[in-house]
Amino acid sequence: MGQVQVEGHTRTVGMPQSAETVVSLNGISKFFPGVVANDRISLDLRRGEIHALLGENGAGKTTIMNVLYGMYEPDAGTIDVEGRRVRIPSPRTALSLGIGMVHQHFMLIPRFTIVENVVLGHEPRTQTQMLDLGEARRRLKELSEAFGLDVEPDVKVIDASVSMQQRAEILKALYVGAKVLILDEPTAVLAPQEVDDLFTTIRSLTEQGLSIFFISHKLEEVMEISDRVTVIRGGKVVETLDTPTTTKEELACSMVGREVVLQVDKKEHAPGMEVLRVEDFVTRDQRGLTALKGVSLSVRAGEILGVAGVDGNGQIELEEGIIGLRKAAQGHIYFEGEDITAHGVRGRIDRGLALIPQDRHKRGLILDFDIAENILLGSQWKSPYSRPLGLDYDYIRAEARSEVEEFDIKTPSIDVAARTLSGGNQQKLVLAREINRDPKVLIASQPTRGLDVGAIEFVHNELLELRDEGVGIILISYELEEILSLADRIVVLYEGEIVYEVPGAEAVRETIGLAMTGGLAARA
Amino acid sequence: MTSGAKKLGVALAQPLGSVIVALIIGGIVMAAFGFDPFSGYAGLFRYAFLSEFNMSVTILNSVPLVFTGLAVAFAFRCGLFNIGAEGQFIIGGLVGGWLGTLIAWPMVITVPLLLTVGVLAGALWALLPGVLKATTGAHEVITTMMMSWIGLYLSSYLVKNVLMDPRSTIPASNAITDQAHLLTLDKVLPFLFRGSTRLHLGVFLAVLMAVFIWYLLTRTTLGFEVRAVGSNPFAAEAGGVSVSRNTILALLISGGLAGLAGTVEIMGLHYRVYDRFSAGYGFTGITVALLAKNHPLGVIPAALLFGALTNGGAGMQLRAGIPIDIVDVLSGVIIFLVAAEELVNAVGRRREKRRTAARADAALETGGGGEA
Repeated sequence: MGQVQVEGHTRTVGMPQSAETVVSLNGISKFFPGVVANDRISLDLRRGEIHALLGENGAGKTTIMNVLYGMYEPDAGTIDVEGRRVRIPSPRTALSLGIGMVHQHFMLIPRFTIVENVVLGHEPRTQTQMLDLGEARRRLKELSEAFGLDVEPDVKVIDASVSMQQRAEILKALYVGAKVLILDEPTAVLAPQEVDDLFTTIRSLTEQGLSIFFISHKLEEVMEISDRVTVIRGGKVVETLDTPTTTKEELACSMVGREVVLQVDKKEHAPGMEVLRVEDFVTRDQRGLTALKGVSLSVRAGEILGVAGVDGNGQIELEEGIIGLRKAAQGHIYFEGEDITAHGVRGRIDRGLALIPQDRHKRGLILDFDIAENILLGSQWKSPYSRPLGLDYDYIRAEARSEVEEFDIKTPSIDVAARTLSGGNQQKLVLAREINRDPKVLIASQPTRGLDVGAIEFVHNELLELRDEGVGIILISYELEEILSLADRIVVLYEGEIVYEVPGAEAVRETIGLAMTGGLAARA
Repeated sequence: MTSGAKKLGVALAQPLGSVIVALIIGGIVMAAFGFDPFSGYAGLFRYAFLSEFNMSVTILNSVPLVFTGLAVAFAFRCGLFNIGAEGQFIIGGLVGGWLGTLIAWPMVITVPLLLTVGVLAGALWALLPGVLKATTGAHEVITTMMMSWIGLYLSSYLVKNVLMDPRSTIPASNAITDQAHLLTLDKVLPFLFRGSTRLHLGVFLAVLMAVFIWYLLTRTTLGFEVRAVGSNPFAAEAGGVSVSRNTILALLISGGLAGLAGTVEIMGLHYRVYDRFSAGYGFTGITVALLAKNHPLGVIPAALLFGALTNGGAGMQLRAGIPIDIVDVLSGVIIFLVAAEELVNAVGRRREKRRTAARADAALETGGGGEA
């Protein structure tokens, strides 16, 4: 084992991997109607290595792994596992070959316990063919200890933390004897400390002889954890490199095909008057449980307030509460001094609030409507869109065309359904629509989720431009890097409360990470 | 081919395909029971369309179906299943017709007044389901259906006991006043009709209403909001649309259209309120809407088709002895195929997949490749 200096922090290089190839994908091609998802992709996995697959959204990295896991069969190419040529028509086959996958969206049964989920499909039986839960628990404990994956067997999945759920997913694969693990964007749901724990786990797994494919679009993580990295772009392999020999900038360039500015240029900007104030905001969810427990915050014109936090700590309630989709059980919201607590969404939009929602498919767009009608949404009662005898579709379509051009939304025309756009272009569409209304306060929730490096750069620049023009922005994001690079002030949302507040310039990553996981919670 | 024409072609292909397949299956059924499908269909066609009389009966059958089809289609576009159109139809006819027996003001006042009353009555019958859905989430399939039964039996009771014309041998109200009539077309457009006809102004009203609803749905803010709620209520909400308001509004409009259907039937055809004067128009309206894929203008040809099937089928039974139930078989198969859209789409997708794979293979040969 050795220590290597990589970009300012020390990285422990793992045990020298054998040159032995465990899995080999040769010339794999996979087509879907109208798109070549994988174009003659060849890559291999060596025993004990952590091999990262890096690429933008839609590049084809998840597809190729789904082929390996048996979710799809390739249209061309071959697969070798442990030196043997194999066909993998289903995940069951993949598992029997020792290949397991942990998906980005967990495939656990929420109402079952951890142990029940882990043994599902391969339950140990008693003599009388009854489920032997005791034996299951014993085996789980064995695995847990062997691989250092700590879980509580009898906790229901819905009650378990996200990192425990993830460990359960890994254990599921290990339980059926996986020797190869495919991890699909595993850090998307984790706080910084939990990411560190995951990486420790991954390293220990490889020490035990497992080999890992690690799908990610996050450059820092790839640099930190992987031994080799394969960059995929447009369905093709661009290059496969030994990680210690490359840099973030090089990888970003490979991923996108051009120079990418990774650090946004944030100008100094003096914020103006307060435009939005939230006071002691309390909301309850469907079960009557309190989601937001008294949130207070304030945004000024020309400032970006970053709301950091791990998914599930009240972000949705906050975004919906401010725009009016969720009623306040207690508390007030003031816009430019006016109490708008009683106003609905329409009233708030009219006053100058806008929302880029976290869930663009549910809240952001009507996927079956065309682009023009999606642009109309949120403005349909206002002239000049609406006139006495009906809607002015000429105007609407002209607006749509100009916004598509301005935001460089890739689409054959404005008459296609929003569903046909890629994730990045859909997000641009939402952005275009909201920004076009010249809002005074913009709530941007996960604005770059699922976007590739190029689109992220675009969105960040848009947000900074708006801020410079005097818009008050509330940036709610699970990506701490994003908040650190954009926000003028940062607050941390934890279990429905603001537990920490700091000016952007003075922010310390570790302290914020601590606050995000409750390390700074005031109450015991 | 322009993209618009192509879109229309694609949109028409599926319902058209369903009808053709249904006719084939119907033919097989006919043959299985010993009837000659070709002469059967020839008879169907003849009794539906050939001769002025037959055509006019087909059209008369279709008129209420256009209204009820519009009613169901409009509700569908808002994501709502108004299967209580039958009850709204009855109530509309009942109230409008009853008032029609009493009011004898000049026709230019009486007729619009009664039609409006019919719309309001039908809307009222859909109000409760609408409010319940908006406030409690009570499913409109149940509430509109229940209201339908109430409407049916209430109407029956009222006709037999309150409105009853003592001189009539069957349960029916008094005749509506002359001024309450929807004029027959031979009186309005005498140059077009040699003799008398039973076709009435309701025909024009039906077409006008289809165009109006189409405009309302596709060109106005209200229509946009209704469709938004029907397609994605969450995004609609985030776009300032009131889901509850539009739910209630959509059901009101739907009920109103069904009520109008009933009133038009009484005022244009029956001239008095009979007990059970609906030949299931509310329910057939559902199949009409489905076949028209909920498009207001598509309701017209869809209604004509079912009007033709009913008329042609009756004639077939009368003259060729083929049971009219064959029409039900045809209707059922059409609906099955239209509803099984996914099946048809899936078949289409597999073909497209093979085509793309072939194209991609060819591309690979030449060393090309696509951007994902």
